[in-house]
Amino acid sequence: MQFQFVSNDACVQMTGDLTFTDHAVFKAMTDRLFGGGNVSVTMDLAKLEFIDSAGLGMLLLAKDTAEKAGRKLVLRSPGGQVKRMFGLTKFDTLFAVEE
Amino acid sequence: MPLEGQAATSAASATQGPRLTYWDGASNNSLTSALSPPATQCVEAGLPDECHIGEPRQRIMGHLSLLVTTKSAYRHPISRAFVEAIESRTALSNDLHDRIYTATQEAVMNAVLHGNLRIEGELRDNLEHFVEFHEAIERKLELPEIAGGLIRVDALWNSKMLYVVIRDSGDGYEKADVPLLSDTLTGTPAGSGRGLSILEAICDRVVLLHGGRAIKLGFHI
Repeated sequence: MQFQFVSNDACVQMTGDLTFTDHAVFKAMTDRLFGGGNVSVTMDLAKLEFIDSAGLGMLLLAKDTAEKAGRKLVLRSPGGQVKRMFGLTKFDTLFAVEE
Repeated sequence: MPLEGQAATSAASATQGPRLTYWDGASNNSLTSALSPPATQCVEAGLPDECHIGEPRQRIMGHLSLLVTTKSAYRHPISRAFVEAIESRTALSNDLHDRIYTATQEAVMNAVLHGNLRIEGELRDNLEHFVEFHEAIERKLELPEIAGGLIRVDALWNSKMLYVVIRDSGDGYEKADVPLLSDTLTGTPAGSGRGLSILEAICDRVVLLHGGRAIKLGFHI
């Protein structure tokens, strides 16, 4: 998985695959995303092509971390296999998901 | 011996028997090359002969096997390359491709992390421990006896069904020890434990074999 920050670090665009080999890079990404002063932060998933159960777990833990810090985590534009996995695991009911 | 940096088809491929190729373990491109038709068996270079793959016993239309080390299964997206190799041999709808790829990835992840690396989920259940989790994996991959543990992936298909079988070298597990998907969506957020439930949701058939050291995933085609 690769990522790029936009909007003064309030949004991060993720690309590629988010899988069980991405724990360290995901942690680095969330450190920066949650390290700023933005109350609402967004992960833009439009270019994320694939996610496995480990990637889903990372998103869930990120949501928990954000809420404990008084922040709101929004997931934007999941598509394809990622959107399908969200539906399968009911993640779309747990997160604020923007189409 | 295989050539450096590229797949080498064995002498056996000139006959009607198994068409064996070797993967150099170097890159995704060389894996794709090693898995390309007419290969039926692809083995990571350097593995001892006794590790090599036998022929399937049942009568089938097509089959493909891949045997790699744990280290290579972690370093390279072998599931993607393997499913693309299946697709180059038998037509798959987009839906079926996604389900097979997702399921194979889940099973390979389980085989690598829980089977061969024997790393349990606790460190994955807290974002603050992710770097520690990553470092624990890297330390294990520095140990030859662990890094060299085998992961085997087989695909077998006919006109009606396609099966993918993933095997590891670990201790296995019991299905009763795996949490239900509904359990992972309630209470404390957990970074792990959804894999088997996802498999059962997207596969037409899931069978644990050999005490959990292998899993057979079936799909109607």
